[in-house]
Amino acid sequence: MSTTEDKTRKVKLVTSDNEEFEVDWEVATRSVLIKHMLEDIGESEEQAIPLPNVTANVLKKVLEWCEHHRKDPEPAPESSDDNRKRTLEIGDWDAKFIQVDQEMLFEIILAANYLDIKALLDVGCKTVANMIKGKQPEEIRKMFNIVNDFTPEEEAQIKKENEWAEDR
Amino acid sequence: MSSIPNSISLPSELLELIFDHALKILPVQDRSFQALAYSHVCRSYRQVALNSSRLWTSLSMRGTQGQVVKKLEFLEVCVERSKSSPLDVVLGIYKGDGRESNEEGEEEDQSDGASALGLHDIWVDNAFKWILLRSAQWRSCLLHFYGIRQYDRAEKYRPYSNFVKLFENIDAPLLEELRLETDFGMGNTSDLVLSRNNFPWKVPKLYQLTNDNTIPLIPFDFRSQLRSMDVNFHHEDGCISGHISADIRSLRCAMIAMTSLSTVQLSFIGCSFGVALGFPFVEMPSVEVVGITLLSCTQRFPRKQSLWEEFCNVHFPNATELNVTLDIGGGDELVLWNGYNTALYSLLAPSRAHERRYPSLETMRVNIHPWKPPPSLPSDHPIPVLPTLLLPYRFLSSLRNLEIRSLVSHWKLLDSVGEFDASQPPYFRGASEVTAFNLETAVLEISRVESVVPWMKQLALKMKDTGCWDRFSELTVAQPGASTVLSRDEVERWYETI
Repeated sequence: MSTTEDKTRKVKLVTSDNEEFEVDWEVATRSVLIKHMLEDIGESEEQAIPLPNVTANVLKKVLEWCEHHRKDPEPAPESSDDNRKRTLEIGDWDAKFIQVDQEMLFEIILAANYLDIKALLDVGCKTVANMIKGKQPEEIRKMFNIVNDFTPEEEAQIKKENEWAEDR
Repeated sequence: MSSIPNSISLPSELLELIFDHALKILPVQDRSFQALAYSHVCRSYRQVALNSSRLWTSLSMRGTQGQVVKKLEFLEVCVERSKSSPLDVVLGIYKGDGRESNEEGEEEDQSDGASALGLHDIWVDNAFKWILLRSAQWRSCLLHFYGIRQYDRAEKYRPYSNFVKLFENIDAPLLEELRLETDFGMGNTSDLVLSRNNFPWKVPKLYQLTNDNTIPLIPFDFRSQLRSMDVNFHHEDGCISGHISADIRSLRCAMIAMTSLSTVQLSFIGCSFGVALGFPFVEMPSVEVVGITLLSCTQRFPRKQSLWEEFCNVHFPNATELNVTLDIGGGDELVLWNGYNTALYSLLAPSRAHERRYPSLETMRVNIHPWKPPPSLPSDHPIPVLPTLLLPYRFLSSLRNLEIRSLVSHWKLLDSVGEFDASQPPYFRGASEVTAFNLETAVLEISRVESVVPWMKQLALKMKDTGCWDRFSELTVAQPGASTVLSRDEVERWYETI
């Protein structure tokens, strides 16, 4: 439970490339990882939180998302019902936010996963899911520049499996 | 982290989550085939896909091109890869055309005279029995009644009558969701299959039923345990269903015993309403959420208030949420009176039995779509110049939250058409009477605020007149590219300046 004092507090974050960001407590604690680290260090406000897995340009983007969603309620634990009725819809602002190049998209996903920001991770994963839904292997390889690295034996197995999906 | 991240550098649990997202929005028939496609991209995709049991839970019988394929080998692989996870299965039942009397005789004949049962020309594919035998693992089941067998596919069909006893004695302890889906032109096939012996499946966990274009003969044994029901009548090809009123009555009959139902979604697209059949009247005290979709619908007979009459026969005294999707810009007398769209009015106006159709209503969401004329309507049918939707303030008296979203840019919202007179539909009577309001929030997601400003202004004035304006907290106006939240005080300035 956050207090009024918490909400006015500033938090220092240091990225892997040694850039320092000072942000509001409410923004920084969208990340469960940072929230727990802040709880661990207690009142020592001057202590910067190191984020060795995030670069400055990615953290800047992640903090832009956290700033916009700073007032959002805590996400509810996912029930099995939610799991089944999942859609790929994302809000208008999030859709615009995530219109980035592929490299940044995957950086955001990795950062959201590391920082434990479930809602942002969801936005990133749904965006990629939208890109690959209904696509065939060759289309996906082309889209993400993936090399077909199957061995001849594996290729033979895949050829056999492809017969399962043939319309005949 | 790697220097340039891409999809194959994601941790396997994230790639699995992405695959899962991408599959969940596909029809159940296509999911395992799509999982197969992901497993053929590269070695790392394949490793993730093959190790993810939840990607292989759909036992489907449709190929990637929408054609039916039955590959028992693939079904066996799916079950193996799903590692005992609950399964989502599809069972296909086909109508024959009377050309062949029997194709396969090797199965044990369990029927007690197919002809006598009227089942002699109903067929199933070669996966049917295999799937039935795995009912202990079913989580959901789609029972699809196909229009006709496909003779160009060298399929091996078997008489349904061979499997009647196996089918009727299904024991599916994990089954939660059942969907009945019927292609157009199936006649009474679904009726014959579902009504025989009242479909006595043992499904103690079943709570959700979806009924797509299937005669709503909902098995009696299921009714009291259902918590959620979707019933969809979609005739987008313009075919007129002369039986929609009879179908609605069948549904009402079934609803009487649905004492645990909390969510009801009813969807009518391209349907033709006939004369409402009055009996039975249904009271549904357990229902909390009601959804009604009404698009491109018409009525068969002039000067009948078919929509109002039809929905008068069911009452939801404890529903707190109502979601209505409708279209404006055209239609016939089902939704139009003197050019005004009365669809919402017809759904909310007092019935003969109840002054307030939704006395506990707290939240109402109205989604407005552009009218798409059904092919059955004459091309010279008159189109209103400015589509105008009627929403009398009277119906908002218990409401706390109102949301209106419109995909139509040029339209207007209006409270009423003035004093009641004999030329108006009977349900217009008393529309201007207002006692008190509880409205706290309103959300308007529209492209042109001019559509609703006069209506909103009048509402604010009425709330002031009745001493209720203090209850109102905020108005959200969302337009393309901008969203504004206005406090109570700001609302007055907003409607005065527009």
